[in-house]
Amino acid sequence: MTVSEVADLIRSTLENHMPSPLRVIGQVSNLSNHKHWYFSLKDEQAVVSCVAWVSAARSFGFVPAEGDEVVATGHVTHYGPQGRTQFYVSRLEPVGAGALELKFRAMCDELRRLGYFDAQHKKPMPVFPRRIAVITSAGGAAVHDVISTAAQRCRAVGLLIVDVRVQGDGAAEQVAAAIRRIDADARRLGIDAILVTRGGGSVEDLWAFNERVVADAVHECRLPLLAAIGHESDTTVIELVADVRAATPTQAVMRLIPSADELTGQLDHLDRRLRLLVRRHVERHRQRLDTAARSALLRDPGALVQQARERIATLAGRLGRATAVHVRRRRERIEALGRQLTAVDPHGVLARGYSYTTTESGALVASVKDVSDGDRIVTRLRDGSIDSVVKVPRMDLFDADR
Amino acid sequence: MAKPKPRSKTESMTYEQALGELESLIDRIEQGEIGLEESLNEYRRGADLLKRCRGILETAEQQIEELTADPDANL
Repeated sequence: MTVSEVADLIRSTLENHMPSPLRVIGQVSNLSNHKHWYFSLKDEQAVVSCVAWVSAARSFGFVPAEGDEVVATGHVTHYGPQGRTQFYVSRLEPVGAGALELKFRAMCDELRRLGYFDAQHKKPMPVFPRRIAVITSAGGAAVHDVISTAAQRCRAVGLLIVDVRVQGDGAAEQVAAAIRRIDADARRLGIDAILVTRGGGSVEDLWAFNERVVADAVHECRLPLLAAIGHESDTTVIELVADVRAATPTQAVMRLIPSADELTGQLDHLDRRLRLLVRRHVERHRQRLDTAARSALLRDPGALVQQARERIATLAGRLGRATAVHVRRRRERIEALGRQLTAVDPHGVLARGYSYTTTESGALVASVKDVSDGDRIVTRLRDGSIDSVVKVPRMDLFDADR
Repeated sequence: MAKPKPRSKTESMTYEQALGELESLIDRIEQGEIGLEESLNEYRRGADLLKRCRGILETAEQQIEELTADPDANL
């Protein structure tokens, strides 16, 4: 293997297996900062040589003195031409702030794991809160912004200023206790939302709002809670756990309290809509009434009677005609039957010269066998009858074998 | 016709309650399935609700109270 190959292997091994970015805490020594910075970071047992390119060094915002504790962020690599393994620093912070930031990150990681930042816990802000609890320092700058902004937005929303320490010893505990107390008594106090706020300050000043007690109180709070801590560029734990975060106290109030002017505009709109709707509704009913009034019936009630009368007359006419036809048909039928009856009347036959004969008892004599010698018979003719006595009834020969 | 629900007095309603009722009332008239008399009653109710909302917005002075962090203090 050549030297270059070894150097490449070292470099790629470092780049592939060292964490990046790497955060290192240590003391600064032998700083040379003419253009790029060359220095060492050391602790009791070891030394790491460091490089910061001028572009990165400009953003550090400070020049550490020999022996200062710093937190350096960057990556480690091997520089072949000089055979040196170096820590390339892209960010350098004095240890106070750096240490706090490490603590902040660790806290965020833990709370995230516990689900404190989950969107499912975020409660919506009330549309029109009756009263807001403002947890802040009564003597701070934030409270003035809150009160003056609230006055501009809507005076109908009440404010309950809960005075707490917002920095230093006991601040986190006071903030947490205030949140729990307001939340527990929200109904009696008529509180619909909580605003936790304070103005800008150093990382140390804002530190109370990164404490676990505050995070727990906010996480367990049932009221919608909005947090606005420091300036927009500052992020604190409470703002990540809160339901809503605002950049400044003023913006927080604007988010929480609706603008009375906007609401009045909205009411005016609803008012116009309501009037228009009712007017249209009434108009629709009036039109229906007009349509009804224009109908022939209501214009001339007599017409209805006339119509009924005409209808009755028509029906009467139909009834009369139908009855006459019926009677005529019946009469014709009876006459036909009469004619049929006349045709079969035996007396009609007698009139034409025929006659018939019966015995004395009235039985019809239709055959010579019906009578015997000496029987009395009666013969009926057109105009009377003849009594006779039978003398030798004689059977016709051509009838004999019937 | 369904009997209308008894309605709460507008004077004790919150802004959101009054606004919510006003909006649903307007929706109801918009559907157009109510009678003339009913619509006029609804209009009167709507006017009361509007008055309540306006009354709340026209509050002249913000109620500001202060509470100390002393946990023993009476709220």
